[in-house]
Amino acid sequence: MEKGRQNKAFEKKETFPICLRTSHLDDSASLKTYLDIGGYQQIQRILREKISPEKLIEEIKISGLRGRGGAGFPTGIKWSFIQNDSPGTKYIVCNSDEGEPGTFKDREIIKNNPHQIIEGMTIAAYIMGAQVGYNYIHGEIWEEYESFENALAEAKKANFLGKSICGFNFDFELFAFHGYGAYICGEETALIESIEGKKGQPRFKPPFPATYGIYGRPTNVNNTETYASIPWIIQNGGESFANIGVENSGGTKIFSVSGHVENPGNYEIPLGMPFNELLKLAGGVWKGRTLKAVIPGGPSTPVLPASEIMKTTLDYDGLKNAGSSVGAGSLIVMDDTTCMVSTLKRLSYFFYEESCGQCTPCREGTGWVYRVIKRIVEGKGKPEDMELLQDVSQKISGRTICALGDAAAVPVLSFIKYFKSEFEYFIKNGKSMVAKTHD
Amino acid sequence: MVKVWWLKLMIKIKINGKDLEVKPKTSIIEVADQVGIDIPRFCYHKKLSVAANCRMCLVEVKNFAKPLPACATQVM
Repeated sequence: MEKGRQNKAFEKKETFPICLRTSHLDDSASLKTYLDIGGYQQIQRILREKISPEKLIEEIKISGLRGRGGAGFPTGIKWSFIQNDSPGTKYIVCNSDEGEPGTFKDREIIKNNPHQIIEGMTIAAYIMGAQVGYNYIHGEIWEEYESFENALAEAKKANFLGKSICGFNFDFELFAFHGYGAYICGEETALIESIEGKKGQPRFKPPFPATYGIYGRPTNVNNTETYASIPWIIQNGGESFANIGVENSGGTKIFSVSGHVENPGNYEIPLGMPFNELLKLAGGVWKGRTLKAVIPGGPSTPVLPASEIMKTTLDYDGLKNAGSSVGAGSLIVMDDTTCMVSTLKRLSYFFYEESCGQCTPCREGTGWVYRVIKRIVEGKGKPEDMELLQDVSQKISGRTICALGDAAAVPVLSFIKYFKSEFEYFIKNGKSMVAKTHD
Repeated sequence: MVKVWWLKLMIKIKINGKDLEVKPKTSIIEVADQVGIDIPRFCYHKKLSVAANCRMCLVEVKNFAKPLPACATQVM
């Protein structure tokens, strides 16, 4: 993709790109570029001045950084679960297994700024006393995987990884792990199973990975964007990171805008930005059409109709009050020609295809949901199908081991909640309410 | 009368309104089996490891928002 197109928010003076701060530069992924913008300074400063892990965790807590993978758990609190001085091997895992429809933020960080992830993970390893790290990269992105392997080789050669980093008494090994493209491996315990070489199926929790992770050792799993934010926080202090965003949602967040907009792409914006400003950055709804609905954080977050989303700010509290969530920031924009029934058919097919088959409600339920919506789209819907869909979804939600079951139920329930008349019309007349349908 | 040391550690629980005293570190499904309360199950067997994935034995537990698998939840 052409340079500069991806991070339009950078051109505006009031925004502060953090994770994508090299993407406007030439040869953005190389070690030289990262060193030029002050990279690897923070890990050296930490090791030289022997800053205590408690102090660093305090700084991250002040910054208000929350997990960027979807759950939004405060990172500072999560990192204090693993004792720095407990004996034995500990692991740091970076979750770059983004597989939901509409997500493409992690791959851009890996492609354009891999060294910032490496530095962030090294700082995390220093804080939690870990010796080994893995970056679990989604199976379908080869270019990014190779980019990350190159970055690892460069960093190892320059002694930013491996034994006695930069001549200080600290060892950290980092490996890239290429997955096979399963959506379920983005769930942290399934990811751990996959790294161990087993079938990628989530584990029953508790015990949580902080006590029982890879090979039964304490493990910390975080999203790529979370790790990539760490060097900036340590450099500029937690306070200035928190000041970029709003209360309870510090810093910037990458929103992967896709769907019916003029300029789709990744936009790193300060949290708390109103939705219509981001829509303006992305060039507005395409072909001069009007907005119908937006999925703010990927298919596992509830859809919001235009009237709701236009008065919402993009931050954790703002979207929560509107009845949705930030999720992974995969914003899907839909214009007024979108048939919501066909859209839901595509989304439910994704969850049906990607269910790991471990828990009965999810394995059977996602299949039923897909088959019922398919028969509605084919014009064979029955009047009781709406209730059936809601009933099946409610029986998946909250009854499975991992959150994929909840995620599969969310689109069905939210689409029916906001676009009930469209479903009723489709069942009654056997055709879509909007003129053009797409599959 | 024989005194057993773990009698002090017995936990007081309530299943379907029935007051029970049970040994610690037993699962809900074991307790229910002992007192004759039937919890349907597919994947649980007392001689196998606990998988907790058929989700047939989900039970409502006080102070928990979601139903929990009776085979993998210990009494407390």
